[in-house]
Amino acid sequence: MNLRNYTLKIWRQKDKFSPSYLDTIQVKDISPDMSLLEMLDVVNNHLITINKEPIAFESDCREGICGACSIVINGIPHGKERGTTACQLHMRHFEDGETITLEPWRAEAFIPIKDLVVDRTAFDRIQQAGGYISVNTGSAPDAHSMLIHKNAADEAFDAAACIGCGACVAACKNASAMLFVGAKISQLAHLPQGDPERKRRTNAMVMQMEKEGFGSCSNTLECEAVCPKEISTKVIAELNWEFIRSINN
Amino acid sequence: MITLIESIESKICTLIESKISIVGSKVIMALTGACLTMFILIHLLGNMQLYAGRDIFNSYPELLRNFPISLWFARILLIFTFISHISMAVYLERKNKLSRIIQYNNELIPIGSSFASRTMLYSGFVIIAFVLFHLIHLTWKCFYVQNPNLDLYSLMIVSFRNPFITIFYILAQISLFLHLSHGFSSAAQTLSLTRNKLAKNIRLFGFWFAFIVTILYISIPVSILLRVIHD
Repeated sequence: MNLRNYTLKIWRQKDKFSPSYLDTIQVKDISPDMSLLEMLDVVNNHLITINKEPIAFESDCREGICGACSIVINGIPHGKERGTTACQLHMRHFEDGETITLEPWRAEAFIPIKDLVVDRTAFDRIQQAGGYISVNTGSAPDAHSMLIHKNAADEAFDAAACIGCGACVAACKNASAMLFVGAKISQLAHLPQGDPERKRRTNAMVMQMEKEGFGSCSNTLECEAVCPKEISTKVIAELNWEFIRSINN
Repeated sequence: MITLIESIESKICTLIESKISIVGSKVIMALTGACLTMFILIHLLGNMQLYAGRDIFNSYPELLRNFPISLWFARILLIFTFISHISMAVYLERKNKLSRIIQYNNELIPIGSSFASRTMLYSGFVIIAFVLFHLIHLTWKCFYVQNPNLDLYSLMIVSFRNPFITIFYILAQISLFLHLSHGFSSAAQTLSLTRNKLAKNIRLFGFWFAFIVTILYISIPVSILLRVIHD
């Protein structure tokens, strides 16, 4: 197997109060079958053995489901492969000897924690503002007690594919969270369970998005292009529609 | 005085933030943009009469002046729309700049956005400069004060025989094309007309709409410069 060498340029930052800098690290003998995160594991093992601070980065499932890995790779959130997360990006997609720049998501709403890790709880607060349905707890209802049209179920499911990774914010020139908020609102707006609270939900989530400091949507469609779940910007149109409907609320 | 302006500005910003939000601000931009697009179309129809000859073209501004109340109503509405569109753009741009103060080390590589969508602010600036120049040039006729009796048809001929003026107009129209081609689909998205499967068709329509409008606008100075339209 042909092992490869790379030059990494990595955004390093001790904590949110410390200045950031771009660290250059030479990595050798990397298998092209490794994922980007596995390569970072190898680099970190090496850094620990030479008594240097390992690179902090987020990961969990490592199969493109959780949305934890949040790295801008060579100027593109999640890297140049479409419809995948950073953990699904393999080193075979990089040329031998290539310089790879790794940076965290950059937005005022995403506060840096360390190196490639940012605080994305702004998304949680938007969800807490209204991204739910109020139901009485109890035993699960019968599967077919509420009939839902196939098209509505499909639309809701497409929007529900959002894993909340924040790549849409990272890629947007305005650091706008409209694709994320649009997906969360659209997911519930298509279903009868989400209908009673739709106006209050939209208003609350939009206002929280504004409060968190995300920018506005310029409809450049960059978010759709980098979204690992390929959420369509149609959800932004739906968010706009729900917002217009909620004005007289 | 400056403190008063700043305090009024801050009160307006707080009001927008609490009542309209960034989503509502974009809706205002889309609505005012749609009104301005309508004006561009009506203006184009008026301009196209140049091809019908001197008399018909000269009768058009006279016809408008016969209805002074409607004309002034339209003018005030247009100015209000234009200022609202620009104010919202400035407001949103300022907010957007604050949403990412620390930039990436490597610039983001665009993979989904068009050139027109990334340069809306700049094409907008060119259009503002062009509108001011256009008013000074053809509405107030500031360059032709020594010739006050020149009719509009002759004024057009004299102006666009000058290649510098023609080139400036063409460049401004290219900016209009960029602004309109993205603005059309962006407004449709903001006004949620793209919720169905027509989204791609609307984008395509926006592009061709902007392209045809621009070509027709550009055709006038070019026709005069190439003497297709003559005295």
